Amino acid sequence: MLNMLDNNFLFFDGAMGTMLQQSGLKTGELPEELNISNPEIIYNIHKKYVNAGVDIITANTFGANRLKFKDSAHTAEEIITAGVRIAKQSIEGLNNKYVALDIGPIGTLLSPLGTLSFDEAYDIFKEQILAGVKAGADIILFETMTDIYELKAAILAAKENTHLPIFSTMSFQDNGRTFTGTDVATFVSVVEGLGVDVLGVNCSLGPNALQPIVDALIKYSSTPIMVQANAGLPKYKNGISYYDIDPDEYSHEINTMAKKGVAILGGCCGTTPEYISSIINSLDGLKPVAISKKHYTSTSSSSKTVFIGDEVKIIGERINPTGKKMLKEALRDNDLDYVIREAIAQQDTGSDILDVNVGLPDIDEKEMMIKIVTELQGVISLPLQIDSSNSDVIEAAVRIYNGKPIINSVNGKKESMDAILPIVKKYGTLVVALTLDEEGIPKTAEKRLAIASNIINTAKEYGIAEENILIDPLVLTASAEQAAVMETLKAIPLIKNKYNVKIVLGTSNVSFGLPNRKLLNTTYLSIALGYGLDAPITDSTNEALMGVIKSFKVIANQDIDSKDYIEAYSNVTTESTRINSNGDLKEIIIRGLKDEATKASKELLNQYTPLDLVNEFMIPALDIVGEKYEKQEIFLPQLIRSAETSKLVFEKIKEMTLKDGSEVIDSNKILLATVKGDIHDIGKNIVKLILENYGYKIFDLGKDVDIDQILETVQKENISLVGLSALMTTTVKNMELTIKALKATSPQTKIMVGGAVLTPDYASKIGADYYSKDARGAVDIAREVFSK
Amino acid sequence: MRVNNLKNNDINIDIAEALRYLGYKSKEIDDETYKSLNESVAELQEISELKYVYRIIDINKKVDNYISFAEEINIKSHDLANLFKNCDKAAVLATTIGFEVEKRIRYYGMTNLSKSIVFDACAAAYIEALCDYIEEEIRELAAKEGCSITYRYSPGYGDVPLFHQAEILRALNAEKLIGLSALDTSLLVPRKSVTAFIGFNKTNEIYKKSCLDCTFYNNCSFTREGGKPCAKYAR
Repeated sequence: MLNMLDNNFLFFDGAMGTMLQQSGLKTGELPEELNISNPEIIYNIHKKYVNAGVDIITANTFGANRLKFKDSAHTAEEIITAGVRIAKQSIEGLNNKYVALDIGPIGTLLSPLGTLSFDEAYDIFKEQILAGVKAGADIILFETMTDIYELKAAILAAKENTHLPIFSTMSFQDNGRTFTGTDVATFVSVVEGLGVDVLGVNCSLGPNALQPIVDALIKYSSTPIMVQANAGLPKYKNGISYYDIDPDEYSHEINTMAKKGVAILGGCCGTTPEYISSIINSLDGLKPVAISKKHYTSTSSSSKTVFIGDEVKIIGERINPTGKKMLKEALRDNDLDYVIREAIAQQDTGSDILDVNVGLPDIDEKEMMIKIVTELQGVISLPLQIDSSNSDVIEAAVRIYNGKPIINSVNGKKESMDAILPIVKKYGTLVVALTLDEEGIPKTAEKRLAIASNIINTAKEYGIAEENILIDPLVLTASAEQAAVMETLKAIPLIKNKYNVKIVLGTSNVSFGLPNRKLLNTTYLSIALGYGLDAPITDSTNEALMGVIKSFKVIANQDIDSKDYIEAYSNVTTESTRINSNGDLKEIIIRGLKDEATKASKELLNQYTPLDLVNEFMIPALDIVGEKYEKQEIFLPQLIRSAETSKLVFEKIKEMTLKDGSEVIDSNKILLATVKGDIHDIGKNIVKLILENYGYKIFDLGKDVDIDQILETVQKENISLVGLSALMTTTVKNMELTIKALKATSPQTKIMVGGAVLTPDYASKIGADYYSKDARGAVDIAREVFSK
Repeated sequence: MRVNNLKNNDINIDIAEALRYLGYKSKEIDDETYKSLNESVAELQEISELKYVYRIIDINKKVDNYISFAEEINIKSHDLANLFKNCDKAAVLATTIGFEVEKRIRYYGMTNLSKSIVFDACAAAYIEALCDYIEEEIRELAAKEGCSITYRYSPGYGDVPLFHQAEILRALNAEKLIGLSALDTSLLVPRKSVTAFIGFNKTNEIYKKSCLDCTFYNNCSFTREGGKPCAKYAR
């Protein structure tokens, strides 16, 4: 069917909902029910579109998923089977007509914005796809999608369960983004990587307002493009909604799109057979404009796409436990906050992409990688580079990644290519290719080129384009192999002249074993950039290295008008009015002077033991803060600022004790969680922070937490106090279930609860041992529990 | 039906309202909080996407403890039937300040808790102000028909169960039109969103909601003398 596009446009039908409303369907009803309750009405609508001349009939299955139909008399499968059958009947006996299984959004959002897991979403789509394929659909159409993560689950479900062509559209607003924030470049980068056959835009706007979206699609896409616009904006009159653009104006705009390169055309809300025949007539005698192949090297998060090649991009290297005691400790302790802070520090200092490596001998790398990637993609807008030596870990992470990640890495060994390249192809990622093979790291630039060629050619056999490969020519250590150091750099132009690949390089190993490493590293980095390095894998929190990159961008005419450079170095003096605390730690905590906490505690740790610091400075300061809060001399933001300041002191203490191996302060354990179904966590986070201040070790399971996960952690960590939070009347039910389960499995564990809709009475009714109205109350409860 | 996007500076964020959500009882604000409030307001004005949709819908059945809106939304409720006893129609509305705010609240929750609560309070004040704006638009529509309007009534108030959020969203096609959906626990996503009814009162009665009417009166830290009700459900 797609071969037809060489000479013909493909025409989809227009709206189903609009036609049904004209037939008297109410807005609140499930329109797919009609496939069974009134098939004639659906058949007649299809037939009108067939008579208007469309090539593809969209089955009436948009919302037929198990969640939307949970209260219906029919299953989603029955609805889909009937819907596809009716659509097939409408084209019976006609040549070159097709039926699309129509699949819209599930109707509830995926985690972390909502509570549906990626795997659940996948299962829901899989069920729809299997039913549609069985009923004889010719095309899988995902449309009106607004969440790229949900769309990724849908496309994977299609790819893994059918060979039918996949058409996929999202709905964009006039700011160029979907409701959840995906822009056109990101949409194309992700779904083209996943290998859809047609991509495009539908719904949301009229055809005129969609023109800029169409322009962007044409700019980025190498895949045929489809458009199904609304007939303008919705109006409502006498109980009937209607749209404000007539068929003539509509087809005029669509005609413009077709001439730009859109080849698959149809309608969305408000369009009728009249609109569609008007389009078909207006394109009579014209042929589609072929879509040109683009060769961008792009990696994407859900909301941001980074193009590698035009200017230097920085891949942040800090989330890697090698040689980092604090990070190792954080990973072993499941302290995700620490990892997130590392990520944010890199984002704030100019990293464009973050490398994520969590390989440690004594942890489950796959489980940890999934956990960290899930957390990071909910908070950080930068694309991630999944770094592991284990292909299982890589596949698990890129599968659940919300975007188009980079895989780090493949190399020239056959075994590595056999394991990694299929993953690169299937998930449409970028991949870092190391120039080493069975014989190790080569000595010469030419041999590096040879290995790169081998990897590039093998990748092509898998259908991976050159632009999706990043070659790492591997730096050598000057102290060990000085004669070969320049060979790495010489390989860069050799490789780039021959292939459309980009170059990445970790640079800090060059100085290993020599004094003043900073000097060698910055010099090496600047030479590498001069040789054509596109994306250094480096530490953006290091000012010296960033200085090299920023100045290089000026010299290479990448930082136009030296804007970023001037902003970074013109010595803008701000916040000079900040009051100095004279270094008194108590005062620093009481006034919440976060910027001064680390320095002051570092100095005090020269004179005091960690325990004395806590008892003589921190606790007294926190008590004063608590009193002031009780007396309403200060309010919540100040209380929290003090607590955050005090937490910084704690961290300094921890860093110190890890460094010199002295005894870590032993602490009582408390588990905190927002219950299943609830996504409010500010209250829980406040409680956590305050409890941490009083020295408790917190196991924070986050929000929307499964009961089983709470039970497991309580048993595994032998936890004697659990704090649960719920903010809604509807989720207090899950709190009650959690308490019941806990009481059954760990009867000794005490449970405290809190949240806006709870009262002391209600708390005791659902079986909680304690109720607290705020974080101070939680501290009192903890003291009571642990004094027994 | 009316679907509309507003420009972010069409609506002002009331800092006094945000301070009230933060529990401030005094007028004195420390410098850091003041700075944080102003930064939050500026950020919200930049990233929010103010959207709303409403329909004026007939109340086709109303008895002592049951009310039906065009048979599309059917609610067992004494409180709402009573509030709307002099109404034959009502506005059903859904509104949101968008996903970017939702993401930013998460971001600050992970990175800077003191900022996150200030930001959250300002966002709550913003959606509340947006509701007030829509309410004025609806008040004018009602006035043209010689009606006053009742105060806003949302699922979760009084005896109206939260699960009716889903019916309201469906009746307004809100997922497609403004990107608003609900979890199975009836929580709206993005969270800084509201669904509500506003009755068209034929007798022109003037409503003034008092905290004393609220089911949370005894368990609320936001109560205050007179004025409009809190935005508890806007959060």
